[in-house]
Amino acid sequence: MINPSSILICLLMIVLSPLLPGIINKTKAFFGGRQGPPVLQLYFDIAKLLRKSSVYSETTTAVTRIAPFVILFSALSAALLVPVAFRSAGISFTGDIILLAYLLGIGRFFMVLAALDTGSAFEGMGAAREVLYSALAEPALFCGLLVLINETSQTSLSAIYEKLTAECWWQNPMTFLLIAVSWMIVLLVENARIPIDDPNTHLELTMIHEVMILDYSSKDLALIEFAGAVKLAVFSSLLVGLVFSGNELGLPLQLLAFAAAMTLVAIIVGVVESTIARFRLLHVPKFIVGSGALAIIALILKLSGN
Amino acid sequence: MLANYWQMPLQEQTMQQFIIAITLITVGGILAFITRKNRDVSTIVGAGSAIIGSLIAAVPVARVLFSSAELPLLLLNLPLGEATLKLDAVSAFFSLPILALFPAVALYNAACSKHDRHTHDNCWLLLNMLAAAMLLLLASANALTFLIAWELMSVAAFFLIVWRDEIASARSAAWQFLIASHVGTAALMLLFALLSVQSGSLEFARFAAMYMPAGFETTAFLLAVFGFGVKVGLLPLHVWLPDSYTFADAPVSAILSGAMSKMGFYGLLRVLMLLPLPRESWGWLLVVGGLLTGIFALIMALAQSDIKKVVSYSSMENAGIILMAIGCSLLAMSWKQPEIAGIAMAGALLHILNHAVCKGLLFMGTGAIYWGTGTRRLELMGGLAGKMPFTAVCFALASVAIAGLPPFNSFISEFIIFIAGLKAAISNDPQALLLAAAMLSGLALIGGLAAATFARTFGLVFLGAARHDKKHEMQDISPALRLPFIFLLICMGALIVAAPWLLSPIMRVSWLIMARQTGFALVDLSEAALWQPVGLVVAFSLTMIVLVLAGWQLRRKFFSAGERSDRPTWDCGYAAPDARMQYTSSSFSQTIVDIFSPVVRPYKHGEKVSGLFPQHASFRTDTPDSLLRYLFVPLFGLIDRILLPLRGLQHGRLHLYICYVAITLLALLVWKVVAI
Repeated sequence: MINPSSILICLLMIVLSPLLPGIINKTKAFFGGRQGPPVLQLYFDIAKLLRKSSVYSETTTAVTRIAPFVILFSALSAALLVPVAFRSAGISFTGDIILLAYLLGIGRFFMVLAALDTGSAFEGMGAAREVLYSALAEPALFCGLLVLINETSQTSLSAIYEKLTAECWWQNPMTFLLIAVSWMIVLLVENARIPIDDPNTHLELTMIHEVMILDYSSKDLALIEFAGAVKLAVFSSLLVGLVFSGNELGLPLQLLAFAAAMTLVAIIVGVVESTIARFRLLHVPKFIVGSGALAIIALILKLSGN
Repeated sequence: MLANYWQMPLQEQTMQQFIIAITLITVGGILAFITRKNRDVSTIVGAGSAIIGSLIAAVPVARVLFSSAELPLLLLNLPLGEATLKLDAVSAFFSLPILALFPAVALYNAACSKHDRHTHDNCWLLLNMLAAAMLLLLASANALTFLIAWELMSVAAFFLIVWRDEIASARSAAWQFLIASHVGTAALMLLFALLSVQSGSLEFARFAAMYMPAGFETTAFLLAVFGFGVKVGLLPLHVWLPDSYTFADAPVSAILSGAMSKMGFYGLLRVLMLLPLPRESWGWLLVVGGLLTGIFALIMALAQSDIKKVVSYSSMENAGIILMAIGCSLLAMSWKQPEIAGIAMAGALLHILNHAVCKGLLFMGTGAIYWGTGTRRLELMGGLAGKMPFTAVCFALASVAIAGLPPFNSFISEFIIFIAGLKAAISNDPQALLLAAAMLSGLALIGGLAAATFARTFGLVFLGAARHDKKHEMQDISPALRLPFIFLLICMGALIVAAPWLLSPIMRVSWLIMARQTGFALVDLSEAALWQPVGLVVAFSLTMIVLVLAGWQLRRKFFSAGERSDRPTWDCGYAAPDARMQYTSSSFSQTIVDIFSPVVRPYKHGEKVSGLFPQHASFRTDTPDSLLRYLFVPLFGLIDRILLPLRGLQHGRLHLYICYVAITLLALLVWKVVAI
């Protein structure tokens, strides 16, 4: 099903998505007692990068040139598939979340290839970590989804979220809380946030996402940064739809509530980043598998409740 | 038989056409063998008969699949009685991988035979025999012809694997194949013997109609899973697979993995068509077995440093996915859920087709890489994309496809299997929810690991700086050798674009598989439920291809002012990056392999670096199949020791052997007399 009004809202979300990293950084600055960069900083960065011209390494091939477009397309089309502002997604059909996850997967695949294309040891390191962590995170996402499908008897994301009301939460609070926590962890993993990865680190040996795009510059980097912000918005709205419901509200109220909820998610990410230290790399897989375990516990609770 | 061909009704003519194709391929192989001294003639005869034979066979196959024509039985008079041949929709579907890969492989072989001094003289004979045996296998509706074709197929495959018999490990790989394949065939013989004793006939049609006592059908199913599981590479029975595919010639590996191992699925489904309604436990066996197969295969693939082994293990992974989908379908059949059963089976069938095409491309790609570099070791490659752009593009497309990522064909079939899982999750039955959990999270994990495997393979072979000897002259494959790649790329494109239209014939095939036992009607399978999702996925895929290419070209044409690409990799300011500083294939997968090291048990050889200014250090990891090492080698050693005393019976004296025959006959005579 194609829903034109949602496509417009979705475009709005895409345009506003660079605000989310700004809000996260503001929150972190608040905890650190600093003033911090302006909320619009990512827009400034992107504008600056778009004016510059690229430098490519001599070892790179066409993969490095194509990858930014694949990454951007994957993030934008994922945004089209996720329910926004408590309404159905721009495009919704049976199994849309599978397409969503795999579209993000192709973006990641090309980012890894682009990292290997430079022939650098650091970027190879980041690529190796990225593929492992994302492979472990995906089962958690799908396990949680399974409980939601069972609860609502629907197979498309929009229909699931439409049926998922406060009543469901009241009936099985623990189940949904576990899924929310598990999906929050997936959000942190997929968007390379603390405690899995540190977007601000300056030590290449410990980086994951940032080190993979080390050799990108100018317009390509702008596209990748923008795609990263959109991806964060996609996962945030997935989480917002799970926790809040506002089907009955009017459109203006829905938009306001959605904006507030997205801000809340960004603030929570900021609080997590300010209060938790980054894990040692050896412990990260355990943490991610833990989020899968939470989703499995939710599934068992659901099974015993049936 | 052929005398009054043109007077026959169209239906019979089509069936005859299929037999003519098989005959043509066989005769072509034999003629190529006879003319082997003149290599050009032999190539033309062999490849020509392969391609023309496949084209002729494609007509009846297309008629059966698309116009749902019912072809009549064909009776053959064999010494042991009559045998029937029949081409129904299931057989027709399973001949598609053969008809796609066989011409491609023939083209590849023909283009290669000029350059490759290793090409052996009887390769056309064996290759054509393999294909003809597979087509005969698909057409046989009789246990005896089925087993004969099965054996012909295995023997041809054995001789194709052992083509480089001067290499000890190639010989041992071929022996492993032969032993595994015969252990499997033994189970199949037992299975068909049981069925024919019970029904008093060797015809499949009679098997289906007979009464089965309690427990009989489970025994039959387990024998079938064992016998056919060996061919597809089900978890503990897969040990022959990686080595055989590695040591066979690249096009041979393509047809072994893409077509021959698919015959295992055909056999399994054919036997399921003959048995009564599946039990729940059968489905669970396949789901759990498939899941473990898939995950184990990918972890092993990540630990390998031989490119063909990586691709071989990925065949096993895809077999795991297909087995999971078939298992899900069996479970849904036993729960009387026609919608899920139909979707899961359709997903499995489509995945078989998609995997055949992608794996053909990948294996032929490894052949091209070997042609260019002269090695199969991932550690010695890197930066091939600049030297071999055509191979790089083919391998990249096939890698993305085999990792099950959009916008390529394997994603569509995995997506359909996922939908079966999603539909199972709606049910309130705890078992169904458990099935959905196994399918969804299992497929997600397999998908993630497959992406890791192929990002590693493509990235470390084609991208980065070259690790091989710079002096080694390297060039891309010759234009003639590109033809089979282009052919398979076209097949791949067709499988993406035509996916929504393929649903209807595939749904009919899956209905045929389950119609008799379950009594489902074709409409129950609700093919319509798949149209919208699959259509949208295809639309997304095509949009993605167009937009990404358009964006790239626009950026290159209009927004590339002032760009430069003449500097070494920046890498945070490394002064003199070197190809040897790059991440290697084993370092790339080390974190993943370490997590699963209790399962894969990698060997690590190396010396500790100590002291200041160490002069020399080396490190090597090696990961042979852990099940082979810890299960089969000890098991076969034990069997060997137990059977050692019997070796006295085998002394080589002919007159005593004749005596054995006489004693056996006498014992049988006595038994017969006493029994009466």
